[in-house]
Amino acid sequence: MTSPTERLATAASTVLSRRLSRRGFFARAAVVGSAVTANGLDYILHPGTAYASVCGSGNTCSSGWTAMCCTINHGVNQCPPGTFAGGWWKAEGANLCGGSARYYVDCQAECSHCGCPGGSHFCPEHCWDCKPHCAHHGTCDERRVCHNVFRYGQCELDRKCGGPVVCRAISCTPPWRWANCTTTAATDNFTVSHSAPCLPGWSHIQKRYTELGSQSSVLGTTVGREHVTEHGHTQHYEHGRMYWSRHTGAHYLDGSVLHHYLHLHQASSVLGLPVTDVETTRDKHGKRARFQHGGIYHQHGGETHALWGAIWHRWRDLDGTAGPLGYPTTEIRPLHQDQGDFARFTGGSLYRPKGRSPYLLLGEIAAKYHQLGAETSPVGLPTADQHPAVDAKGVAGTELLCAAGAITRITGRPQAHGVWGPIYTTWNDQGRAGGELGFPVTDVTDVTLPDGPGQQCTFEYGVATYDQTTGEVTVRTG
Amino acid sequence: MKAHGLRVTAPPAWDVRIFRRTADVATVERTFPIVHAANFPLPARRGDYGSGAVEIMGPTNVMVALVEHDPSAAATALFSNRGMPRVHADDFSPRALQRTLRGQSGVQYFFNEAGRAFCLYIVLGSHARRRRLVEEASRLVASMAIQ
Amino acid sequence: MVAISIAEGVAVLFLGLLVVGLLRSHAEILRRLHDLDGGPEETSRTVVRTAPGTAAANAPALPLAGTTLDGEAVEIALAGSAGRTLLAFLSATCYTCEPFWAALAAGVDVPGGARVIAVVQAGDSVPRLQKLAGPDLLVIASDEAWQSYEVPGSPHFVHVDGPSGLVIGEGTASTWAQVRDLLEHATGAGPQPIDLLPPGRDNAERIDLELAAAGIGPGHASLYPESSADSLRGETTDSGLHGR
Repeated sequence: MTSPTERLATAASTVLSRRLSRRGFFARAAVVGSAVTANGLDYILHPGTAYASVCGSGNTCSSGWTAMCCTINHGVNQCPPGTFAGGWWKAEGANLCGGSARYYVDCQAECSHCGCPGGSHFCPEHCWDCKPHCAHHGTCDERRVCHNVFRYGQCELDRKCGGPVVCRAISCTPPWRWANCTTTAATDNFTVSHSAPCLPGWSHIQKRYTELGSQSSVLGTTVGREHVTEHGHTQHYEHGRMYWSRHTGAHYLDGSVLHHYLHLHQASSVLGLPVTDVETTRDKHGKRARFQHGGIYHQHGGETHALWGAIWHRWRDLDGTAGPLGYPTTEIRPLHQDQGDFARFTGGSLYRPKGRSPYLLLGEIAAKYHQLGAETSPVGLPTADQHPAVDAKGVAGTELLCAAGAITRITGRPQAHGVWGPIYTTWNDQGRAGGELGFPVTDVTDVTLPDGPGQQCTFEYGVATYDQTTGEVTVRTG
Repeated sequence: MKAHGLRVTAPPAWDVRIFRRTADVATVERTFPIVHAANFPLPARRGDYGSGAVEIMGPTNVMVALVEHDPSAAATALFSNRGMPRVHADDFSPRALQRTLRGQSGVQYFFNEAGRAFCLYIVLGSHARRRRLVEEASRLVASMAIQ
Repeated sequence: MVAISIAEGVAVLFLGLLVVGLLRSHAEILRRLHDLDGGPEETSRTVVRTAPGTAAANAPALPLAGTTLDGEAVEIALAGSAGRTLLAFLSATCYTCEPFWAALAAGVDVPGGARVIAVVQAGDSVPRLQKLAGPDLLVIASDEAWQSYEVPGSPHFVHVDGPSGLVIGEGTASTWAQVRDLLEHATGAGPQPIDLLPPGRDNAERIDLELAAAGIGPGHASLYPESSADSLRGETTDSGLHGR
């Protein structure tokens, strides 16, 4: 017979012995107490695992593992000069690769000063190009460099002789896709957390990079880890950069488009963050990338320029690079005396007077406008797109109306011509090309009349002369 | 014991495993047989070159790994040595380890036999005792047969 | 006011923990007294044969050969190994095996530091066994072992002493606690760890083995607390590499 108290005690002890040993409880309490005593707030606020989580397990020199290449190779996650890929292994279920396998490539030192004796696969230390040391580069990756004489043996199989492992390159993409390695898998799950501050963690950018093929992609290998700015996240690569924000997603830039974006100060520029990768243009003659507020366009063998705002929108409405304007040959530039802005293209120009829409100028009309001095020319700023015109006899052409003149071109003729000043006023009053004079066949030119200076313009069906002394415009037809 | 075309006659007190990992179907990777043999209890979770086991080795322990590669590698320079190697104490070095742990010593041989490519990797628990430990390792290696 | 309430809460929690600890101590004392009194009535099946004086005791331990759940071919020489091994003959389908699977998968402390190997029959469902065993328990499918150790049914346990190469006990039980008690009795270890080496051998080998038993091997960080760079600088290059 047992008493109720005894039964209670026995029940309590059974539960407790199942859940928690007394020794275990006090041992844990003592450990925590010691840690708090020794490091106080630092322990509570900065638990050791936080630091360890950056470099993972076995990150000290004495742990016997080899350092990451990025730690000793200026942040570049690849075999440094003087080394070659000697073999690879994988660790499964890696958080650093989104739960998939993570791959490690050993970079072996080359035997530059001598070879391997007999049937050996490793050369003596005096042949190495490196000296064994610990990676003390101010980071938690203090693993060994040029120390472990070991080879996994699936890469560069034509190299029988090699030196020690200098460092390890990491990837979420199998090495046979980006290095000269076989598909023979080796596994070591104990290395799954091995990392360094210069290696990217798993992120939207890293996920996209992995989908692109990691080192086998156009971007090459990573250089350092992701940067976080007020605009978004950025990852540097050997041949490009990738940008991510919640609103724009992850997109990469490379080549001249990236170079131009860097020149414009990246996301802090008017363009914002990229919303596409660098892509081939529809006409396949160039590259482009679109951004939140604009785009950067490169024509093969030509220039690279950025467009944004109203002019960019108008250009895109006109079919962009595949449309009549073609590729930009300038950035968006301000007009003289802050009258608006403009951009020039391989096929013409867009001019946007302040507070108005951008107006379209194409081909010879645009060329004449620029020749005359554009917005500082006597015709002034355009007031409309260029548009078709027909004279009284049915001859077709194009005209661009401006604030103080016009530029016209008869279809099929090589040149356009400008009309401005009092002659333009008279011609305009007569119905421009549709009037008795028809299209101009010269520009307005200065002339010397019997009673003083004047201007003259020849048209299809007559000549208009302006006498500056009298202020009269005389029209002769026929 | 015999598996995957490999035979090992374990000396007394040795723990021997012959296995082949399952290849990741998401990739084109290939896996090949591996032998792990040790004169101490091998842990359940091990890397192909013995990580997980080398960390618990004592100074009298020996671990041997025979790792097979793609047969096409047998014709390459790296695997050009023919036949199971003879193990010599002088071949061992404290640096010749996948993971260099204080006191330990290792050696690695690449070779081909019967048209198959292999890497033989041996870890000794103590470099200082390598002459005696190599005798143990040699007995195990001598009992290995590639079919 | 809030601070006083928090302080009171902390004090109550601390006192509660003290009471719990005292209760547990009290229960333990009662249990010990009860054991001295003849113990509780037998409520569960416990059939044990422990050395000396059993049929199986002192029989030579045969090597364990079979396959792991991952398909590894495996041969483990139990005789001649440094420590002891507890073979747990279990089945994926036996109801009474379930508490043992749960205990072993969770990682139990085996008296004497014996390693545990679960031995199943080849026909057992591998997926079910993988679920029961978890990632860390070594499970070997070996009909041969069931025959050679004359296992009458599951669960059944065989305790092997590596250095002597002998079976030092075998039997069955219905809970892991019973098995643990039996092992403690068999080894004479009680709550203390078994000393596998002759007493008084306070030499390097003994220290190495004890450190290994504690999970501290060569290169373990705790051996070199200030470690790394300095220790590496002291290493010498081995010329053995060059003579191959």
